[in-house]
Amino acid sequence: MTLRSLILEMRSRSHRVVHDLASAANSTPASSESNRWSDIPEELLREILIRVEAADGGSWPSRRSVVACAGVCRGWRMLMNETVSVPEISSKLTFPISLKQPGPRESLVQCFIKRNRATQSYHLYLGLTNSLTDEGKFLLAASKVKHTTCTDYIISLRSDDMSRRSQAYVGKVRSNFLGTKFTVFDGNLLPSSTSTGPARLRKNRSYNLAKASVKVPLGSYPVSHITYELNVLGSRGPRKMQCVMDTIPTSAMEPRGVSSEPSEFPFLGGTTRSTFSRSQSKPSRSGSSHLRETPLVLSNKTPRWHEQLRCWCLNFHGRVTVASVKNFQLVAAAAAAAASSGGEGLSPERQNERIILQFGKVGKDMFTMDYGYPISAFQAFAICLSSFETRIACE
Amino acid sequence: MENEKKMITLKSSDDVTFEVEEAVVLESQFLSHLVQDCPAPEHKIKEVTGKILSKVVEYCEKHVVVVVDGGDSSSSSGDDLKKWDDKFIKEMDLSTVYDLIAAANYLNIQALLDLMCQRVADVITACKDHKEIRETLGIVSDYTAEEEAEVLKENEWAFD
Repeated sequence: MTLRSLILEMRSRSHRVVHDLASAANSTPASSESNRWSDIPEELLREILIRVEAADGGSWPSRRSVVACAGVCRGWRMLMNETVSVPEISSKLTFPISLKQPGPRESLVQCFIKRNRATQSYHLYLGLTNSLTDEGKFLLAASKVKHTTCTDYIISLRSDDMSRRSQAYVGKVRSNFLGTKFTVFDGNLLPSSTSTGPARLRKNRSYNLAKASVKVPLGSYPVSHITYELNVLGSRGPRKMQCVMDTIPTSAMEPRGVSSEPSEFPFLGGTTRSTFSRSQSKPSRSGSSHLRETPLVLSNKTPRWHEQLRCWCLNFHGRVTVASVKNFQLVAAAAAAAASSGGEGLSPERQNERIILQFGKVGKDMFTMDYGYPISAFQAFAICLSSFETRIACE
Repeated sequence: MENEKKMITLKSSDDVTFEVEEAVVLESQFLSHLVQDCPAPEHKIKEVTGKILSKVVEYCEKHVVVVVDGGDSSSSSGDDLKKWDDKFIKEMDLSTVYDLIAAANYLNIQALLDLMCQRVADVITACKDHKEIRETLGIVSDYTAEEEAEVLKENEWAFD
């Protein structure tokens, strides 16, 4: 669609409203009516958008209005970008890009996963109430695809569009043949190259600069590696899992550390490119996707053996209700080592051992997933999917 | 008040005059400075039309009366004022809202500005998506087709 036809379409659609406005306001000429709100001074528009952002405490489904405002035009998008803070600070998920930004530092984002056995698909929702799996805002969908030598889980922004070529494609998890090792790929969701071209470059200078200067390679790149191992007790004990987060440095866990995940709002100003969701999520590509620093390693907390219940136990603080081999809690590996060296997993839990991701069963096909800084919802979901797939299990 | 019932005349851009008590004028930071700095009986406000100024005066008169009557502003008078505000904005078309925002900003009447901005925010949150906001406020997209596709994708996700 050309810009001209787009504008014409907009005008024709807005005709009814414009007419109402014009007839209601006798004192002003009708011709100026249609553009009045386009001309509102920035500081006044900001006053309005701040109120949209604050509506209903910033929770879903009211939050969709924030996304809608960012879609109105460039000016609105810029102001909304200034108003909305990243999940790391606000604990709020707003735009699809929030799914690739680190979770909150002070809390965990409470989500749940619904499994559909018939279609081999998994849907991730943001929990909106205190109940475990009541109502939710749909976040991501995953679909299992079996190949001869491996299994893929395709992760998408849309439950009805699981194609790798789709605009909705977010990334994938690939398992090895044995189901013991997994690689998470962050998909590059650039729109097809055919849609870029000089005809589409518009007046905005910073945009053109950004467009011209940034080249983002197509294709996906690995962001984490997950390994499942048998315990020293063999299949009798809890399994061990380890996640190497290629794009997050160990230093991210320090009090002032920063995760490398995207913190910028896409497609505005000189710092970004034209698309919303991806390039920002790229770590610097100069040395492939590898960090110069040591990548963060997450490992699961070793459950304690409960003599009375005769089972391995982890404290999920009410967020998990069904015993399952799939349940786990991930902490930074250094913290996990410190805790286990304190007494073979029998010692009381360390207070400072912050949970980064916990996952567990609450119903036949229902699971909770709570995640926090420095990993993103996408990374958390990918790790949970590997837990569904792995064949390393205990009795 | 010593100078009780001191009256001041405001004249709009289109020469409509309003005679109001000084207390009403003091609701506006801009006008209170104006009245203090030049104590003329009549003040012309070039930026505001008669139609809009009448709304501004109506709002300020109501709010002055309630504050004076309520004394230490009991909760019931606060509720009444809220009801009055709701009624005040309920029937107002968006064009008038726009003019009132501009006027409240120019005249520096914070409470009126807050009320009007909230009204627009409510209109926006009632819209089902970005396209409806554009239609309602008559805004034309300046996105490229590529960006437009991204916007659509974001909205589809948000409304899924």
